Amino acid sequence: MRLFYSGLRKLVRRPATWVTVAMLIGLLVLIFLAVGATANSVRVRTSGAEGKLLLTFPGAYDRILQFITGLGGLFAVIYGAAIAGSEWSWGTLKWAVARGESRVRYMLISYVTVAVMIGFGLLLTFVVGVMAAIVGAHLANVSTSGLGDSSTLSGLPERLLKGWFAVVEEGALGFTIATLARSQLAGIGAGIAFYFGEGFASIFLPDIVKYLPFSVANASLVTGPSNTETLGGGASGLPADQALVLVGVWLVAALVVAALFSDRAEIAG
Amino acid sequence: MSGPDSGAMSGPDSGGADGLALATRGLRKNYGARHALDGLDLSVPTGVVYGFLGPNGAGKTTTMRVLTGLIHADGGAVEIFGKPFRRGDRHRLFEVGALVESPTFYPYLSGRANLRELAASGAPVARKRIEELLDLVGLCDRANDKVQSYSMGMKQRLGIAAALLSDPRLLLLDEPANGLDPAGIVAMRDTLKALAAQGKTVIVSSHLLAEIQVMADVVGIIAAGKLVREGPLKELLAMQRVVKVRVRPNLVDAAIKTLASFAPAERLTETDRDEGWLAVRAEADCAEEVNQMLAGAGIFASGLESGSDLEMLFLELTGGQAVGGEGTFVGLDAPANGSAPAGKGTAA
Repeated sequence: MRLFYSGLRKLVRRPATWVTVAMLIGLLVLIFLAVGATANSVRVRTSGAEGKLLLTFPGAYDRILQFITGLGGLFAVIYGAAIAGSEWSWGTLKWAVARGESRVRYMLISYVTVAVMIGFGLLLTFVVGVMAAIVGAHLANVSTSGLGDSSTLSGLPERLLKGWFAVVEEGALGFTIATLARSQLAGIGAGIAFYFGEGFASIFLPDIVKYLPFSVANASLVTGPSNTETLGGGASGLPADQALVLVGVWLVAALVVAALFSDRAEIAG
Repeated sequence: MSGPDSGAMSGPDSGGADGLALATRGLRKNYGARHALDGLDLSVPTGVVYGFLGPNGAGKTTTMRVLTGLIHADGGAVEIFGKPFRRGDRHRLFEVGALVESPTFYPYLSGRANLRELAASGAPVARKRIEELLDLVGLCDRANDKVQSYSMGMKQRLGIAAALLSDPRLLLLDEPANGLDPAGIVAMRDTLKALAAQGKTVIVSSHLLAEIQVMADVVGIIAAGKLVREGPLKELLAMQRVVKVRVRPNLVDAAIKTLASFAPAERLTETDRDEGWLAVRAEADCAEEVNQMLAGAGIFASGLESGSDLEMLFLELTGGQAVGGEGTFVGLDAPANGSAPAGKGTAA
């Protein structure tokens, strides 16, 4: 447990943690406030109606969750890569290994702490997002009567949990890529490239890409009966339940690869 | 790393049967076609400061990495306190403290926080131990500052503290004097000698031959991945007694001719012709005789030194290669704070 608490302390004090959360929150707040402030403008009358829809509860809960799991997934890739890469770039893994620490345990617990911080970040972003949506709704003169919709609220914990799980899987990919690259920058760069590359590839290879990690993460969060919008090529994505299982598979696979690589790697420099 | 000879050094649980803190037998490590370690045999007795010397690329750092589990040897065996240290034996490192290459830390954490988080891995460490070590290395006043604001010397001090965290029985220090100011070097030397006096074993790899000469009890010199000489420093130096004579550079040849009758050519070395330095390998009490012979020939020495010289021994054994390894000695770093230099005395 001391390694776990130590990992949490390190992440709480790490500027990258707060910069990542602040960027996610900042963008979300900016969007809701901007939409709220401009929704009644004559010039944006058409899109203003859509904007008001964005600010209308209980639908706003969905929009916030989509934003968090979408952009949050990309941020999680970057964050996971930054944490794993720095252990190699800064040489801090070297210290732990030379002190007799298990490499596998060290890396896996490091990622558990990352997952905890991702959960905290998502929750914080969600809460701030709801508050921003309320403010935006007031600015746009949209009723917030749906805020307490009981059926939506009762489903929120499960949806948040699934969202966290999907984002944690995406973070694990960044973590593993940076471990393989043994570098923060290379890990972040490669993570972003994979994230967008997969989205791009879905246009041409939808039947394959739908099984890939970022696609299954997105598919696992779709709540409606149809799941056709997750892929660019028009082919159907996987059903949410099946996608959720694959999210777990990708998460475990990514962490196993990171752990095995760390265990076998020669640490020099 | 286990091999057919891995059982050759087995001893009792408390330590090697032959009193060795660390032993390597036939240690091999290849990087592609290059043999970084080529059958290295080290025998480090318990309770000594062991000077680990070798020219650049001799395999010192590779050895340190193997001994700390950072890399894995391709062959041979390692024993720590009489017990085999193989790939899965990471718990053996609980008794080892190490500073390998330049010390690196989380830059956004303070020195104290870095030690605290480091203590969360490996062997358990008491909280008060961190404060004792910060005091020992003279970093108390800067302990709450972020490491990114530390000088190289301060990071080195913190690295030494980190190596001592678990109060290890075996300490492996790779260039520990890097970046330390003179007071810090003296304090480090005192600390390491005190640790050895307590029965702990300290292995120091260093560029500073003079530093090793005053600090080490036993030295091991390696070249091209092999041990070329190992033994108590005094014994090695006793075989390397020299009288150094300084004459005018234009009189060097005449001096060599004069001393040829005293010392055969292989015992007479020009160490610096431009400065007029000659070294005569002879008993230390021959300095007067050497001086007298030169004076008799009308050559008057402007300098005369007698004693033992680790540098000459090193150069001779390593084929004249310059001493070295990774890193550069700076040695002019300001003290960590305005207070007294890094603590003397012993680690708690």
